[in-house]
Amino acid sequence: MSDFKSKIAIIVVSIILGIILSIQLKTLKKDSLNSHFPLQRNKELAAELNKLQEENNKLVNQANNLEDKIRKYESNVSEESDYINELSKELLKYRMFSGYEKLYGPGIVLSIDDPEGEVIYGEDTSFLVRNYQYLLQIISYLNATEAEAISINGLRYTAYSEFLRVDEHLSINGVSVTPPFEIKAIGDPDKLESALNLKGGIIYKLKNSYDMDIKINRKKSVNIPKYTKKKEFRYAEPATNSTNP
Amino acid sequence: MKKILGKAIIFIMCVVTGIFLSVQLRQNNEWNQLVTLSSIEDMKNEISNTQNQISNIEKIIEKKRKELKNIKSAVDEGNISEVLEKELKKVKKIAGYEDLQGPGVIIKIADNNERYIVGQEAADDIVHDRDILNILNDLKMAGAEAISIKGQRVLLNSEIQCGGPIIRINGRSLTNPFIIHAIGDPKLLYAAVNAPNTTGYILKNLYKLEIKTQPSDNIIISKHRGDLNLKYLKPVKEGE
Repeated sequence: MSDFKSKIAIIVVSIILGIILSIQLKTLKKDSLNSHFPLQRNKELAAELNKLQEENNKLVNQANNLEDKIRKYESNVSEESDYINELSKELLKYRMFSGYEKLYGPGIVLSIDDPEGEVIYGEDTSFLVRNYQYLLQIISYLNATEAEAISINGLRYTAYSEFLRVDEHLSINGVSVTPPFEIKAIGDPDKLESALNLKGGIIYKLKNSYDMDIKINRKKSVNIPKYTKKKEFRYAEPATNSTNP
Repeated sequence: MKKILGKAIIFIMCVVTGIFLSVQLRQNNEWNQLVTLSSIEDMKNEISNTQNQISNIEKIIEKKRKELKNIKSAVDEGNISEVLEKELKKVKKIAGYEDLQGPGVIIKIADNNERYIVGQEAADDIVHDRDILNILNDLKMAGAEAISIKGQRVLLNSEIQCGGPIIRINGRSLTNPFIIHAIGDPKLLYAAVNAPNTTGYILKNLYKLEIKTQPSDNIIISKHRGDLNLKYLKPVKEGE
């Protein structure tokens, strides 16, 4: 009798196990079939991204070529008269200042990264992305020390460059960047370095209170790219009357 | 003896089922876990970013083509100086060396002058350089085209630095209260300071600083007074 009972028990358990198993496998299969395989989707996206980036590079090259042609014309005619020469020099100066020229010059390279172990996987974004105001403050320090051009991760910092936190990265000039950040500045290298290393200053605070990984290097020549976005005013017009507030 | 045999068979079957199960589930896990949803989101973000960049560059190329045509015809007709003057004016406008006017907002930021202190110390009640930096960043995000603080045009190399009782901008000392003028879409600029969780909102509601935003149809922002002297910058000449 007890033999019979135990057999029934085993049969019941087996049936339940079988049902659970088949349900489990079926739902898994349904999920992954409905929304493609995530892996496959990812591959598709990666391929698309690659293609777009290639196209982007090609277009950037094309834009640079056109720019070169224009420059050549300008430099050809600038030898014609002193006035035109002056004018094109002035133009170059303001272009360099406002971010429309590729530049080089002496300066510093500052690299800053999140402390190790700060980023919890899948849990939250990095400290630097969350607190991008520290990057703004570093840039303000550089500007206070008369830096003449600044770039972050290869993106020129201009009067219209905004820092915007998007999920787990920062958007600067509409391009998303992630730590580690590399800030380049052209200016007097000694002055820039000593201003940044001020005791109690922003770098001091980040290093000592937040355990940031920060390196500052003086460089004889720093390359800074140009601003690649088109800036056109939609609201601002030249002031017509000269009555200033 | 028979009982033991039966039990042994069941035991072996259980082990085999267990192994099958774990193998099966692990395979499924691999399919699902290698790629997290957030990484796909990241990828999508990146793609839309690149698409934006591409459309931007296409616009630039179009503009450059026009410019090239203009300059070609100008060289042929001999009025190149006019073209250069126009271009210089445009660049100066962007660089902040021209007076500008347009719709925008006027923002007043002042210390909390109530008798009681909100934070732990009085320093929590005053306007700091970082507050101004954050608000300027919010305004830029909202597409501000020109910004001035108490008449000081904010250039791309303007420092906003604390200097004890004052805040230093363009080498000048400014004191509380701070009046910011910004040209751009008044609605967007207003939202950039007043929408929940913006810096302005937090300063106003948490730290009880006095922040007033007023949209205006016509704001005049004067140019930066001073010369542009560049000591270190040199242009990289491409293709030479």
